[in-house]
Amino acid sequence: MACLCLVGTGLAAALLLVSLALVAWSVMMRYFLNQPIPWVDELVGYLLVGLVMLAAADALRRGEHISVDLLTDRLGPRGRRLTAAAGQLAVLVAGLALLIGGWQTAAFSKLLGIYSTGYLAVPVYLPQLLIPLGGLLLAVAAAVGLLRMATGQSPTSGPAEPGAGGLRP
Amino acid sequence: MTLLLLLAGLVLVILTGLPVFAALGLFGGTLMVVDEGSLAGLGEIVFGKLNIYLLVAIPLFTLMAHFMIRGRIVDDLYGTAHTLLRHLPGGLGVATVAACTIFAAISGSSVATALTIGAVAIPQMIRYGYSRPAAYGVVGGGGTLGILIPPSGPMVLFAVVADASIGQLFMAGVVPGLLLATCFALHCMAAQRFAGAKAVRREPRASLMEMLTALRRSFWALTLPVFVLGGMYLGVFTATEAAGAGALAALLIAMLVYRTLGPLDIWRSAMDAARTSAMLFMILAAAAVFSHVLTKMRIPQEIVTLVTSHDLGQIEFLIAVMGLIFVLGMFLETISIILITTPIVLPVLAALGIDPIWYGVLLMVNLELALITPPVGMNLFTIKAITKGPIEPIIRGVLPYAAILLAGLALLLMFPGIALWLPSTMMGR
Repeated sequence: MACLCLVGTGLAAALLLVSLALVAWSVMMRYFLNQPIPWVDELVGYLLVGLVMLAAADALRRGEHISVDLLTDRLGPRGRRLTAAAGQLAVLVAGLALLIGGWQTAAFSKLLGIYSTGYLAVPVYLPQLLIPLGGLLLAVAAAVGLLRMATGQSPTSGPAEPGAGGLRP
Repeated sequence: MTLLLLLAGLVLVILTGLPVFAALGLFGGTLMVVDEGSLAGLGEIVFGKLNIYLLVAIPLFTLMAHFMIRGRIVDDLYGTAHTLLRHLPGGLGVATVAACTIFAAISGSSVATALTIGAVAIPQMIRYGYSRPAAYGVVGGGGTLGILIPPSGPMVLFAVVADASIGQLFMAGVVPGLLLATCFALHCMAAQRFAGAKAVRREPRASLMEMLTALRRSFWALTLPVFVLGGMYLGVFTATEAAGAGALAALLIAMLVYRTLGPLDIWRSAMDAARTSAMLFMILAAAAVFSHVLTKMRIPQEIVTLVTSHDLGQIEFLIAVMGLIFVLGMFLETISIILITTPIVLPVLAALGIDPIWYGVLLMVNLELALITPPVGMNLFTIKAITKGPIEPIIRGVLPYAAILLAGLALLLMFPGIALWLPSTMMGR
């Protein structure tokens, strides 16, 4: 699972670096040559969807999704395990909802043959498929978290960072 | 009434300790099934909310901050501030506020500001004889500037949800941010001035040479924010472009000038920024489901009717909303507050003719308070993580800063010009 999550985040990181290159290139083309690149905005939007959907599962594995543990921190070890399991279960359900809802949306777009209104005019179902993919990854990560708990391990794995969550606002 | 019930239910669900995005998503999804009979619109809402070019400013600004931190460009920031300001009464505290202010203009994150500056500043202040609450307070308070002084992730989220200009909102945060920073610094000076026998020994003024050396060490950390924000102010960049140009500049400076950033560091920075953004945007997507249902239930319109039928003025309405957000801020974290409340409040802002930029700045100052008001305050937790001590002296220490923030909020309510003047002078608006 760790491997799958890392592949996801690796791809997300690559999408981010590609977005950086595209945005920076587009600024320079517009500023120095007065030739903006018309398809960058649209493509970067799709890349962002991919970035989020691919990295969300790894954030779950590392326990980086924000939760408010004001009350649950006061529970005993059993209560805390219970809420941790409930958290994984909630993500499992949310992931499945994204998988099913996202799949339906993409299937509907394909059925109607909808193309994007931007410069690229791609079939919309293609980028929309990123949503069910992300849902699937999240659901699998949550299921693995639950399995880990069933075998007495912590649901999260991977390095716990100081202050958790890096540059969270 | 329905709204209050829904909000209370939502807060309860979030307080169960589920990941916020899952709690919000399940709550919104359940309402959607009850209201519409199916989840058919889910995929489209989530896709539509994430497929937004403007939002990519957040991962790009995060990437810029990572490059500057991992590239050690900001390492000397606190030392430089100390060299320049150490002769003042409470000089270390003033230097901490100054370093927080500049770091806020680099990171756009309050937690990162408190974490990075606090790790250096707190031990040094305690070594020089500052009381623990005083040392914790200045980092906790100064750190909150991260979300008000641009760039700021929460501001981008608000602007995208409210369909306001990110660039104008950024500029509107500058003057209030600097004003609050000045008040924080004055508080540090006054606290030392009136500390009597307990006052910390003052240090000699640095020589001109020392000051120049210090400024040279932090040259890039000081100029990059000017490049990014100045470019936006002058209309050269949009916010997303500024984030891209800033990240690229930080990358080049770290690789070519400092020679501290290898391919592995770049890769790790991108992975960290991707995960942080995924975490944020999952909450954004889940909140979109919730607000979609609210809109379907016509709740924002009901509130508009309620407000107009009671003849509420701008100020009365703003005071009521700020009070509500202050209470929410004691229990929830900043991102969910922005994403839950903004869609509800927006139609009323339009009905009462309240400038969304002004409201955005008020919201940010209120959220700064949320970061340091117990029981849930991210900056309190951050300092607790640094010091590994009890939370009581931290809460005691941030109290004066919370009071200053409250006064600042009141001032901004009375004089919107403090926020709105700078954006009104922007080029290429």
